[in-house]
Amino acid sequence: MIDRDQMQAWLVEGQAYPGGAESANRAVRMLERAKASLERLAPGSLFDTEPSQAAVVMEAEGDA
Amino acid sequence: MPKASDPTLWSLTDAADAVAAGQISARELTEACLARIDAWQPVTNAFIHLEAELALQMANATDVARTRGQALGPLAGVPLAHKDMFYRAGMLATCGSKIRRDFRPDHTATVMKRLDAAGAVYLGGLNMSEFALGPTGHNEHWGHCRNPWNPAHITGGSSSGSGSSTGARMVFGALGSDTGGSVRLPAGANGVVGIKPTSGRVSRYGAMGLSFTHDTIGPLTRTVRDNARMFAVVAGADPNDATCSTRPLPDYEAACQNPSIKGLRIGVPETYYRASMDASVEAAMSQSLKVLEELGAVIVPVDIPNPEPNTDLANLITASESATLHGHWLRTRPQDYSAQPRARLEAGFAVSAIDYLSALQARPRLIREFCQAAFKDCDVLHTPTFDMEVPSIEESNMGDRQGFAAVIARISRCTRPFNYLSLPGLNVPAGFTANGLPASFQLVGRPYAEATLYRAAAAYEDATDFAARAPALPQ
Repeated sequence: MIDRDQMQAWLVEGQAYPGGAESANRAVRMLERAKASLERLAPGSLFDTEPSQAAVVMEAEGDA
Repeated sequence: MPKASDPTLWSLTDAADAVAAGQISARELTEACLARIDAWQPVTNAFIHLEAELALQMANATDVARTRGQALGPLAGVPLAHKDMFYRAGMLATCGSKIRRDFRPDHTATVMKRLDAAGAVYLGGLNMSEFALGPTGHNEHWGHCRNPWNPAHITGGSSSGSGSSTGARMVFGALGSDTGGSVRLPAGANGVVGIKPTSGRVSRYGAMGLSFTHDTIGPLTRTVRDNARMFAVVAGADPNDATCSTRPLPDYEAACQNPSIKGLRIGVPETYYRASMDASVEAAMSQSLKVLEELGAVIVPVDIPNPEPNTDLANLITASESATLHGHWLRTRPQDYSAQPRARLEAGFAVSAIDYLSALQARPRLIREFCQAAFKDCDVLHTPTFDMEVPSIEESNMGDRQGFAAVIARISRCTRPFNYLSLPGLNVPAGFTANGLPASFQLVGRPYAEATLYRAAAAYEDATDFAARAPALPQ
């Protein structure tokens, strides 16, 4: 769980953004969903990957 | 098909061919479009700025070139307009915002240069969701864009004016951008063809960014062939955009000539995409599959990975990248954003570098897994574009009220997953739903399968009459 109060403090103090409680709630919801989805889709280590490989995969899986 | 007496009702390819053959001048064609804009603009609010004088100058230049016997480009004399976020040096590009109300960039987008080189006439900048944030077409700064089939209903967004102006036959085509559905949704809502290409197929140099991982650019047009012609002009490698693919371009328009889909395997996902369709959307989808089957396609039920977790990662990436782009303005002038875009952008401030990079890092694996699962038994996927009837402006006008994220998610639930996966998606008009607004399906293919999508869509279009239908001119 991500602490909503900490998130609000981070938005206001850490990021100099005057987002209120609703901003923090929205951000927490998004992060919690994404973290759960990442754990479900790509469990374990991401050690042997890197983002630019997406282009290589697209080429390999691409229309002949 | 015989051409209508009103040239604004011709297809883009017919109009271009008529100009090239001297059957109509580019100026006559442009003046006809300007007259139609006069009639439709008060109803639809599709244009943010109209550049009539420039358009007539460009049309005159085409006519002079033709009389001198000079070679004409594939779009010579064809009036187009574009989402107001493609830069032209010295010309207005508002991005649908208050912040860039008077912005005049110092450089020209590659896609604009390519359209100019092909001879297209530029009519102006089209309405859009503020900074391309929003799937409905609401805009508090420039006024909501309205659907020509029923002005009480949304156009879809964020390329709202591109859908509305093309649907109303004010222009022969328009560029839009698609980060989560922003070409396909307005194409679907306005009954026109729209493509979200494979990521990297069209240069983004000089186009306003929203999320550089997901942003793509594609045309909205009246017919599939029109789309193929316009896409062929703007697609291809660009030294100014290192993310562009250097893959050779197939002949997209040739894919639409006498198209055969005999034996083409069309996959129908059994879960998610068809799980919450309105009844009249379901009827339109079933009818479209019946037509495709009669044309020789093999309809195959397919089991594809649940796209919802992908969408969660896509949302995190988009939030992070867009907050990066907008960070300075969000901190210094938050009051100049309308409520919903601001609320969506500010969530990105909360994303850590590790979370952002993890979502990016998983992407190659997930693209591979999806392609191998989804296209194991089929060549293209068939899903609705909207799984609901196109809603009214009023019922979808949420601002930043509680629940706005759910409304956005519902509207774009069939389009958004394919941006994270970088796959091409083509919106194809497929009749009308119970509320009288257009219905459409989406064909999705492997990376770089745009020609296959065009072939299938052209075969369907030839067998139906939806491309020939236009909303009645306002009285």
